[in-house]
Amino acid sequence: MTIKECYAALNGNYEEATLRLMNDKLIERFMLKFPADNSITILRDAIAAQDWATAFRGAHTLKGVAANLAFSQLQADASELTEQLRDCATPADPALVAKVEASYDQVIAAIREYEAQKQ
Amino acid sequence: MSDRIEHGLEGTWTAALYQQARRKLLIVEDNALNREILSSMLEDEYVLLEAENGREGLEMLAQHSSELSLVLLDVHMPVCDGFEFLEIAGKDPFMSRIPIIVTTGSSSREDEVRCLELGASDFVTKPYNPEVVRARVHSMIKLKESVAALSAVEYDDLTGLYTMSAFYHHAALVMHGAPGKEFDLIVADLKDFKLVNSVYGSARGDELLIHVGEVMRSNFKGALISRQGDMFFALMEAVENHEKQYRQLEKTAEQAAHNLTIKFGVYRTVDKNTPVSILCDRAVMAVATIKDDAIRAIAEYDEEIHRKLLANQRMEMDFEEAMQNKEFVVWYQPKVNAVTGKIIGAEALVRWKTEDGQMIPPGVFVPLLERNGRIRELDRYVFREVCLFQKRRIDQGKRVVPISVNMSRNSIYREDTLEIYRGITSEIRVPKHLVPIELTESAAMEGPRIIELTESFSRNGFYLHLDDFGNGYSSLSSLASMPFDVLKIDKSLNEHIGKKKGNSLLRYMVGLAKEVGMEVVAEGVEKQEQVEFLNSIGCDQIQGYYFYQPTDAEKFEALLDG
Repeated sequence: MTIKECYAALNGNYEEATLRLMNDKLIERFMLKFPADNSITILRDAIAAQDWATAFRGAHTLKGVAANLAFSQLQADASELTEQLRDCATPADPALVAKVEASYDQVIAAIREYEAQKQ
Repeated sequence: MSDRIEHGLEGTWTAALYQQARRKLLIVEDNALNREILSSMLEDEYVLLEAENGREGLEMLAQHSSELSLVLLDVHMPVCDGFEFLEIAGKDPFMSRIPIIVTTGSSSREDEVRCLELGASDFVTKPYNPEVVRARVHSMIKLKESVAALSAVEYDDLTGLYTMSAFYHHAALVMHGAPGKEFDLIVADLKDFKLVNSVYGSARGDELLIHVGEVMRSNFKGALISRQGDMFFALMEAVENHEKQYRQLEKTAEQAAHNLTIKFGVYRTVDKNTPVSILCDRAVMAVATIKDDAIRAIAEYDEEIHRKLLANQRMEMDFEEAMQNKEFVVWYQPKVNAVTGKIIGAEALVRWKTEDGQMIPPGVFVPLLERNGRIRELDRYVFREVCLFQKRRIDQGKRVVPISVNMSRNSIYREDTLEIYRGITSEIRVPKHLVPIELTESAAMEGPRIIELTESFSRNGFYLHLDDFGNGYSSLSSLASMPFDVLKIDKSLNEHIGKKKGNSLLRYMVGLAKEVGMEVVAEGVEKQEQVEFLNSIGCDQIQGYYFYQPTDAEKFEALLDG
C-alpha cells in the first residue's frame, strides 16, 4: 500500500497532504503518529462528562489535526461538530458525534493496514 | 570604547543580522501532533522551544524573553488559553516586546480580531501552510529587528546619547525649524583618553565615558548631545552671557574630571547653512589649537583658527617637497669670546625659504614638525649639512670652529638617533668636537631615560650643550647628573642684569657651571652693559645681536676668514 492509496482509503486528500507536509517521508511520519493523538479522547471524555466547553475544544483540536494531515473527511465531520459545540453550552448532537466516530474509525483502519503492509 | 557604525535600515544591516545566528522561537500549542507538524516546518531555520499550554508558555516566555524572536501561539488551549496568554504577556515590559503570531482555526474570524486587539502581531490559520507560516514568521522577525536597529542607530548604547548620524540629522532639523534662533556648538574633548584606556583598561574607560555623558546631560539640559569616540558634541541655543557659559563648561570639566583633562571648543552662532558635520569639525579645530596648552581649557572658533589650520595643513604637505628641494637652509650665528670679541664658535639655525621666496620662521614650522614628529628628519638634515660644512673647511685648510646643532626632544628619545649621528660623523669623517649637540632644557628634563641617553652620547665622543638654561624647567641637579659640556644661559636672564638680585643669580650660575667643569655661553645678548657684566663674571662665550646676527653660510665663512 502506498501512502497515496492509504489516503484514498481514509478519505483524505493526498495532494493537499503533500502541499502541507512536503514529502512522503514526513507524511508517513505524522500519519503514523495520528493514532496516538489524544484529541479524540478529550472529545469522548468531555461528552461523557457532559463538559461541552471541553468537548468543543476537543472537536476543534481534532478538526485542526485532521486538517493539518489533510484527512478531509474527518476534518469535515469534526468541523461540523465543532460548530455545533461552539457555544460551549449546547449538548453535542449525537448524530454529528457518530459521524466523527465513523470517519475517525476509517482513518485508523487505513493507517493500521498501511502499517501492517509495511512490515 | 567602541565606534558605532551607522547603516540605513534596509538590506545591509538587517540582512547581516538575520544571517548571524539561528533565532529562537517559542511554540505554544497543546496538541502534540500539531506541535510536531508546526515544528517540522520551522526546525530547519530556527531553534524551537515548546510549551503545551498557556501557563507553561508564559513561564518559558518569561525565562527566555531575552533570546526569543517570536512566539507562535495557539488560541484554544487548556489551562490558560491564547487570550489569557496575550493579556498577561502584553502587560510585561520584556515579554510584550516579542511578536506573537496566533495560530487560529480558519473559521474563527472573531478569534483573530480578539487576538489582534490583545496585542497579537499577526495570525496564521490552521491547517498550517508551510510557506505561509515561514513567510509570516520571517517578516515579523525582520520587522521587529528593523525597529530595534533603528533605535540602535539613533542612540549610542554605551552612553545613551545620540550617535553622530542621528545628531547630524536632529541638529539640522532643530536649527532649520527655528529660523529666528541662533545656536552654539560645543565639543568636549577628553584629552589623553586613549591613555586612560590603556592604563586602566577599557571597562574603566567605558565607565568614564558614561559618566561624562551624564555630566554633559545634566549641565546642558535641553541640548542635543552626541558622542563620537572620546569627543562629546552639544548643540544648544546661542547664549548672550559668555561668562556664564564658560563657567558652565568649567563646572562640567570639574564634575567629569577623574584625573582627566577636558578641553572645550566653542563655535558660536554657527552658520546654519553649513552641514552639521562641518560645524562639528570647526569646533574640533578650535579645541585642537589648545590641545597642548597647559593653561587654556576653552577655545573659541573663529576665522583666524580656520586660516591657521589650513596654513598648517599646507605646511605639512609642503615639508616633504621642501626637504627635497632643499628649501631648508642652515644659517649660522657666531659666538664670540667675551673678552677678545673674536669668533670662537657658532650655532646652526635652520631657515625655511619656500620656492616663491617666502621665509617661514622656525617659530612657526618647528612646533608643527614637533607635533607630527618630522622634526627628527629636519634635525638629521641640519646635522648633516653642518658636518659637510665643517669637512669642506677642513679639506680646504680653513679655520674651523665648533658649530653647535640643535636636537629636538623627539630625536634624543629615539633609540636609533645615536647610531644615525655616529653614522653621519664617521661617513663624513668630521671630528665630533666640531659638531656639538644642543639640547634644550625641556628636551633634557631630568629622568633616568635622559640621563642614560646623554651618557651614551657622551661615551661615544659627542659633546653636549644644555640650551635655554634658566627658562622654566631649570633643574640644578641636572648639571650634576648629566654629562653636558657647555651651559647656555637663556636670554631671558639677561634682563635681570643690572639689578642686584639678577646679577647675583647670574654670577652664581656661571660660577656653578664652571665648578662642575662646564663652559658657559650667554645667549641673546644685545647690550653693552650685558656684555661687560657677563665678561666680569667669567662667561666664556657670548652669542647675540650685539655681536652678530644669524647669517647665511657664505657670510659666515667670510667672517671666519676675515
